[in-house]
Amino acid sequence: MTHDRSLQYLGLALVASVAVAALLSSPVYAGLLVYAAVLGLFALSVNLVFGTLGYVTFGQAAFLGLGAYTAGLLATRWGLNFWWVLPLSILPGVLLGVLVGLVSVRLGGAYFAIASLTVAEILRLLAGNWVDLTRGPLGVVVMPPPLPGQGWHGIGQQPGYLGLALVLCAVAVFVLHRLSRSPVGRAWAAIRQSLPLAESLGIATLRYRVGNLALSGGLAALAGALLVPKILVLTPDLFGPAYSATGLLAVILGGRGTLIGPLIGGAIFAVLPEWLRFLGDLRLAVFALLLLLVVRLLPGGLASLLKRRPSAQGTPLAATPGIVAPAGLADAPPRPATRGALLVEAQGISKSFRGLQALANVDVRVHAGEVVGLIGPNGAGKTTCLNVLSGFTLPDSGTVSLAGTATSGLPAHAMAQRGMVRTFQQTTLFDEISVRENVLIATHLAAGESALAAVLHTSGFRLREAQRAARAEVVLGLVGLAARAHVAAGSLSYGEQRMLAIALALASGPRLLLLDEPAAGLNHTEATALAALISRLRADGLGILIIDHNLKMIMALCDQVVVLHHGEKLAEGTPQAVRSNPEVIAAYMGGMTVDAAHA
Amino acid sequence: MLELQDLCVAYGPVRAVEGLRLQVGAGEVVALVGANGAGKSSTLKAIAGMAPVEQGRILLGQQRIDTLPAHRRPDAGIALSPEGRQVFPDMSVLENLEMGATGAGRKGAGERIEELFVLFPRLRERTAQAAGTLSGGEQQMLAIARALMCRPRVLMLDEPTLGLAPIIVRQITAIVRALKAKGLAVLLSEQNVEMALAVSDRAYVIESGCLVRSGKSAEMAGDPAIQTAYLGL
Amino acid sequence: MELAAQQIVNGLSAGMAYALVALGLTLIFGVLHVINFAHGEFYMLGGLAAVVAVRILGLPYLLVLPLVPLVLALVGLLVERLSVGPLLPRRDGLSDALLATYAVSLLLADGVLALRGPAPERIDGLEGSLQLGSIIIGHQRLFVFVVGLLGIAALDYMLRRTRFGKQMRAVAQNRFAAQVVGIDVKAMGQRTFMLGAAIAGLAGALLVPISQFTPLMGHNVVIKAFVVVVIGGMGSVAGAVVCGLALGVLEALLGLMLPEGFTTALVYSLLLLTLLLRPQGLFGKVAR
Repeated sequence: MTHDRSLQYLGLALVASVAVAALLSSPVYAGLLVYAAVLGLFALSVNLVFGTLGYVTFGQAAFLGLGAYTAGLLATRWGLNFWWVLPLSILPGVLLGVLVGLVSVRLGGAYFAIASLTVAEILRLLAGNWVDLTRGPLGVVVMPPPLPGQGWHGIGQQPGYLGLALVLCAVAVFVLHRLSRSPVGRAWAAIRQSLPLAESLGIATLRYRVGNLALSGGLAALAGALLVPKILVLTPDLFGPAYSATGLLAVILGGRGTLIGPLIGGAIFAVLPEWLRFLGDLRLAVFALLLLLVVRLLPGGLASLLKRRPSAQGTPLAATPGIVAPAGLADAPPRPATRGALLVEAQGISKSFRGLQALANVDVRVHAGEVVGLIGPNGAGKTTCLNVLSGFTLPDSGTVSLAGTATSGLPAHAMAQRGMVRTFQQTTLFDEISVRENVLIATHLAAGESALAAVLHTSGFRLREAQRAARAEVVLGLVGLAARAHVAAGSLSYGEQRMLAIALALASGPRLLLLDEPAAGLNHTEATALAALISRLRADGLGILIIDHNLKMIMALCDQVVVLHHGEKLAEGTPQAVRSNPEVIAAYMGGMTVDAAHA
Repeated sequence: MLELQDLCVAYGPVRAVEGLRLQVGAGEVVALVGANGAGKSSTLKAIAGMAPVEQGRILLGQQRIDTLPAHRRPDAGIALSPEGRQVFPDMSVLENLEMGATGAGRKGAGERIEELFVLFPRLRERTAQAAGTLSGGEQQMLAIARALMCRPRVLMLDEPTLGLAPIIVRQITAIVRALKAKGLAVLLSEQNVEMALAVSDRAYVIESGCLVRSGKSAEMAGDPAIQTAYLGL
Repeated sequence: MELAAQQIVNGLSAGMAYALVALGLTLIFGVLHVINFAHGEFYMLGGLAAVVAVRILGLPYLLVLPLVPLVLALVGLLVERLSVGPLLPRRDGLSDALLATYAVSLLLADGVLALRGPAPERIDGLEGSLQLGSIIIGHQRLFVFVVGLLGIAALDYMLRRTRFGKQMRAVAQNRFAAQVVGIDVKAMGQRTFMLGAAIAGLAGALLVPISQFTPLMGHNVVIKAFVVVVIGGMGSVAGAVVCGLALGVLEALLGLMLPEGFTTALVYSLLLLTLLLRPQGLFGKVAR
């Protein structure tokens, strides 16, 4: 297990920051370095939303301006010392981030981009028109008092200010780094790559999106407040497209999704205006052209030129050697229920879509230590039934109860938290990252985690990370993918991908597994391995519901078989009973006999 | 009429079809059967230009069509009724049919529609109705009629009986027979093995992207091995 | 009361501009599923083309008007080839297209700003006005409304009756099936983009005699177009027209009570409210 050296790097960075601030004698370089640090911090905040979570944002300047105005107004109107007020500027950024996060719940992609642009514009208009508060377009002049250690430098170049900016930047990188190597960062990565899969694995996606935007807002607001001693005048343009575009461009040019990228981008955009001064007013147009070229030609940004290997290979775990976690499926919560216990019951489920009756009055039951097969011709309603059971679809009528408690209306991640996990018909994986990273994300439910513990690397956190890692190893071994742990999930063969999907479901420690066509497209060897795995899971006490068309496997494996046809339950019973049921045969045969057709 | 030579279809690392060889002659109905995910749909989509062909050739008559972009294939003489019907839901039945008349087929579209109404009387009753409000069976008829608008030499039907009641399945079978009688070549992919073998002259069985059996449908239908393998019975 | 009526009449011409810009945006979204962040700049360039043609080339306004959409169609094709078409097939294609059109928007707006300066410029359209009771209707405003209405009617006819229009609807409703039946969906995407740009450009040329040309006029209009499209429903032609006109009138009436900045902020807040309560808009179907 690789030892996490981030704390040592932070120490180094802090020392270096102080040293540079104290020793740098050129005011020009000091000013540029400050600006680079502030832009870097701002770019990190943009990257958090765009690179990590995957949401395009055109309005990050909303938070920047909010932080700047808060610090500036508190200092000028209430006569407080600017430097004491600076940390307070984080709060409105966090609050706005929470608000935007809640509003964006139902939004994806383009709608979020539009909303972010609109929020920034609204703030810009308010700042420009609420003259009593902000003096409108005239702006507010803020003169922070000198910090200790000022020599002959101007306010924007003083060593104290430079040191502060560098230190805050280093701390931000440290915090983000630690978060990315924890269940929090993994949840964000999961949300970016596949929101339904994340939900099915028990990740409360709303909470993590709001948290991400709150953190991003706070960071951007801090950057805004830090910007004030450099720009000295607050104007409504702080909320405008110039800063939003710069932040976005810094991330894209530097390299989205990495921590070094935004810093590189921030540095470039701190110095670029100086180099490009000859361009005068064309500067923003040139930036825009640059953005277009980068998006077209080098979408991974400059950082993609530096790093050649993807982050797939072995993420060093934040665990100390010596702490060994208990292995074994049976140890991980929630403990499998006693054999024979009723795990899930659906009664009288009906669902129609746009006039089509997908399910009509269907009952299904699964007990612990039992494998139930759900079969029927295509279009019979099997996947809809599974969607209803797992909370992905609300039934029009009927109830679903998990271990006796009704669960109507509970979202998918809550179902997963109660021990019921499903897989998807279309192979859904986090295909940018390695097999092991995939499973690690899925261990989310194996032990809960708090962001603070993740950043501080408390011993509790390290123990839980070890438990999660151990669980991932166990599950990979179970499905036979241990040897492929470091391969990117998107490069696996089709059969391996199907097995990985089951591994993800298992990693969350379910009592009940709902498998949607796990054998689809598997060859004979793979299907046999799958059947063996399912038998093993049954022996371990799990309850399993399988939808599949591989009837040979279903009949051999299942204890009970339920047949759906045109949304209704046609038959239910042991495999023997069902396969000789004349109605079932007729349903599959299409109501014709071979002899008559070829007569 | 239609020939596949060593066709390989791959979506990135996922290999859907490997080295498939297949032929359909004029006036022949050929079935492609296999379980879900076996590669039947990928094959038909590749012939229509909607799935990436990694290797191999597709010949229509003597012309190689695998190099043609998808939107030129109906003009070349091969049309697809896609899996899941795929009608244009907010356009009327008539407009859906009009969309099927491509390029050269634009002239004479009116007569063509009249001819098709003879084969599909239910559609004549519903010309102005929005296609999305039709029943599943009617949508399937519409999809087939739409594919026939361009007067293809080869018609492909991707899982035409998916989710449809037995009585509709019988109607579709009758339509396929009527088209065969007019000399059309038909390639259909089906999970419903019984129906597929009943309506076709020859069949190919595909499993995990590879051809495993082929032969005359009548012989295969009576073969208990097929029934056991694919119906688990 | 008369003041309100006058505002409503004035608001209708601004509303017509919003409706036309929103129409182009919603057509492009329907066919390509991309939100064109550069759409406001098509409006701006239309105004610019009119100003240049009248001021520098000395052509009469009425002659220039039909030429502007043609020029903008070419610009639209160029933008599509640069920032949309080549990006869509990528894995993150839609998000990259958002970024690229945003970049084009900044490039065009700030390019024009840098080359020309921020000073507003007027040209003369139709002079004079007519009087209905105590309400004054400028001839240009009337012209804008009538031309806009004709344009919308022509577009509606095209969509419902012509082969091109039906193919466009087909691609918007089911891209896969459209390809299967032989429609060249890539070409259709390009043509839709060109059409959207032409309509927006026409709106710009129509409004310039009333509201003056500035290089940043596209930035202002595009968010209002977003408001219209979100409230009206992404992909709905009726929604774009109805909500566009309504927005123009609402803005004009609010302008009686509040300073302009607050009016605009309020209107923008409506967009956020809609996203919160009914993301698919009034006429739309499924929100992405």
